Amino acid sequence: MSGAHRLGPAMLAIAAFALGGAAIAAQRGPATRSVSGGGITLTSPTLSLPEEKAAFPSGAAGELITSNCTACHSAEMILNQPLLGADKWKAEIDKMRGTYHAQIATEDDAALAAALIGLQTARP
Amino acid sequence: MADGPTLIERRRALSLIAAGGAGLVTSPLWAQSLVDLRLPGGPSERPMTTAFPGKGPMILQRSRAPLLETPMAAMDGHVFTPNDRFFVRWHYSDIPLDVDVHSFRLNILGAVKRPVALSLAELLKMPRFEIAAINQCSGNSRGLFEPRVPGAQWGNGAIGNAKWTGVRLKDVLDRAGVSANAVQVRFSGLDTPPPDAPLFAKSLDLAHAMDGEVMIAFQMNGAQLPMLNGFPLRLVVPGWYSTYWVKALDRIELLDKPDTGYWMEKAYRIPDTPRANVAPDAKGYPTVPINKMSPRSFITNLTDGARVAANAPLKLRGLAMGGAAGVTRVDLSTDGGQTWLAATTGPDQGKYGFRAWKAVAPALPSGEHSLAVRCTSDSGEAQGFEPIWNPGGFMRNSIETITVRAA
Repeated sequence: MSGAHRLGPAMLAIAAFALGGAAIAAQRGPATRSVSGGGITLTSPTLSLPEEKAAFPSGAAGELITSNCTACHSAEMILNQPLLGADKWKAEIDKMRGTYHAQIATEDDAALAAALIGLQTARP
Repeated sequence: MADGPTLIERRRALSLIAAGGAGLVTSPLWAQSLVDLRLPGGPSERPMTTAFPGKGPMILQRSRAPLLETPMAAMDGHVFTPNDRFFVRWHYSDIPLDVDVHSFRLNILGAVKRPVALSLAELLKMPRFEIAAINQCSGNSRGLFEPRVPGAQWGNGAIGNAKWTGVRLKDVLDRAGVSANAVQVRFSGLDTPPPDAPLFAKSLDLAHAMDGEVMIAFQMNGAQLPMLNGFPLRLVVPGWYSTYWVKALDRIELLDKPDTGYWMEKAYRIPDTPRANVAPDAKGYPTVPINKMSPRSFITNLTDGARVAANAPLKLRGLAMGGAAGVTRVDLSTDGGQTWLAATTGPDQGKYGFRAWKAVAPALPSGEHSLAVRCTSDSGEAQGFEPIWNPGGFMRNSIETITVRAA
């Protein structure tokens, strides 16, 4: 928490004036991605997320789950669920549609629940 | 301990899952191995991943929106969880991927005398403090619930402890001037919901928000927050579950009536019963928003199923937490809870953080042994063996037991 390296804006302006164009140019470089104060510097980061690897099995059931469920989350969320009965899967579908406005057509509900249960019962 | 006995090395890591019905492509960077979280009834195996920037090996629970669990071995030997191993949990997939530190503003609005938009430079000029505090997901250990419940299927690693640096929320609210009619404070961040879905926002009562402990943090463990943990600002609510620790915090709204939004009224609610425990068939009980944490403790130098030397003293160590109070004592049992041995606790780094403990258990004869660790908090609350159940899978704090084989 040392204030030793703290420079007020006024001091920076004087320093920039004194050092001329080079110092000003330097401030427009990588330094503009940082802000400092009281010995702490925060630097703008950039995050690149990795490619998703998990997927559902090919076939009609897998495609039904993919098209209805993966707009908002990747496949692991479903693959990692414990054995849930039809009622619980139906409740999940209702929650995704009701709360999160997932684009799931109600006429798909029975087939989707069956596909999700099928996915789980096929597990070793 | 990174290669503990529950870590199953697999060259073709995900062939097992593929055989179970999911098509997965292997990648050297993505998944070198699987970890077995020992979740009752399964599925229990998860890939380890090093593919997330700024993160070391993490248990991949979900790639989008990211759910990354800390392996217990990464918590072994220190009370502060390294930033690059700290667990990650986002609700919505549209998370901030870059933040311009110059244009970023923290907005304080609503029932205030003068709305303000603070730059990071302004926040860095304000008086600071530091606090050690555990950040634990409300649903940490949900995968261990029996009967199982839907949701993120965490093992015990949706938890971490850090030393946080930041400014008092109270000081920031004072910059705007809290109006006399304000009753709650609502927090939200840069993550955005899918169309028409509710903004992820959480609220604290005004008195709690003004208690001088709730922090707006810009550093954890002496470094800026990783993007995945909420850069540039995160709310720190010591002693309370992580759901309130809003990441990439950019909006603070003073409310003149209690928050009726989805994330307070419907989600993250617990039964208003002792230890948030109800019978799985219980109905019609009152609920409240999840709040303070409970005592927990973990053995970190051995994993379930480990082999240990028979007829030799057994060195054990781990971490304990009191929840919203400090740790009074930690006890260890090598006979499934019939007798207890007091563990030695390490330095007190603040009541909201982890406390290290260690113990030397008497020599164990050959065979299987059940090791259990129990924390008692300064408020007199002790962990018990009785399981906790609620439909959200929240607040597990039963005594954790591992089985080791002495040979």
